[in-house]
Amino acid sequence: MNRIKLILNILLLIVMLLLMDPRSFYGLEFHEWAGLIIGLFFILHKALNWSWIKKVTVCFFKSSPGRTRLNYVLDVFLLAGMVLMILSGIAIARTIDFSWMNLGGSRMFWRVMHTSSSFITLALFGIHLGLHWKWVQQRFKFKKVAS
Amino acid sequence: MSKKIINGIISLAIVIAALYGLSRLRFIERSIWIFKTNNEQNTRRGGFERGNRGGRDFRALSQDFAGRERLNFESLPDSVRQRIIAEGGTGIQNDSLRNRGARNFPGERDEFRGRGQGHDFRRSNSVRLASVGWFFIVFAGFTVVTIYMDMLIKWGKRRKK
Repeated sequence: MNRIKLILNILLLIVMLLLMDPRSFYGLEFHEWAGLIIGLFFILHKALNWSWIKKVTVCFFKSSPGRTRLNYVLDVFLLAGMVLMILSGIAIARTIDFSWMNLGGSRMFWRVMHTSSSFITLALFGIHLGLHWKWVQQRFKFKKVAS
Repeated sequence: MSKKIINGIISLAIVIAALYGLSRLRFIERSIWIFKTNNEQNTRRGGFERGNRGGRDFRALSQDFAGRERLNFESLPDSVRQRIIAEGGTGIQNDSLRNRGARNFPGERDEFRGRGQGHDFRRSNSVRLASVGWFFIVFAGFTVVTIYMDMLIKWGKRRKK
């Protein structure tokens, strides 16, 4: 299970970085489709860690250590960032037709929202990885032993 | 010990590169864009699109930047108006940035300077990973800083005990 999580997380990181510049990898069409797919990756990431989310949500105000609370709050911000990123991406999409969603607001507003939320989310991803660095180290050590 | 020194040097290099990447990508400025603007400003010329956070509409001014009286198309003499129309349009009707398309947005254009300007990037066959590399370095910078901050906090707690 940990190996699946690790592979999924590496995939998430690679796709996220490729999405940061819409012109970097096969143009806007890839950017928009991959942007939607990364949302599914993110949901899968949350589903794989669902037991931790459930446990911390239940005892967030009671008996959670400070570090766990920090991780939880950061995860909430990450979730908000991802939602804003995808929503604003849908609002400004050019190659996929989302006009039926009728999100309103000016195109420039959503564009600024998309840029800002993606930059903040990338920074939060970096902090999230830093806080879970021990877990990453353990996974790679495990890999070394296995080989 | 030597491993720790090498790790420290690599981390320092990542942080320095990340700081350069932050300014190169205008990371902080673009991260807080959304807090510096609002929906109304975004749609007005002279507002966000012109890099002016105040959202001032220069078309509403009676004088131009040089202090000359600004003439609108309707106030021009008939002969001048007809000549302008015959030469291919007023130029006044089309001065809105909104009509020029979102790709002329200066903030976005600056980032991709010299690469594919004026071309449709909706479907491209090229892979250009230079800016992705900078984003990766900035990402790594945030990670490294968090790791060392975490270590520092843990070390501080241990010393307190």
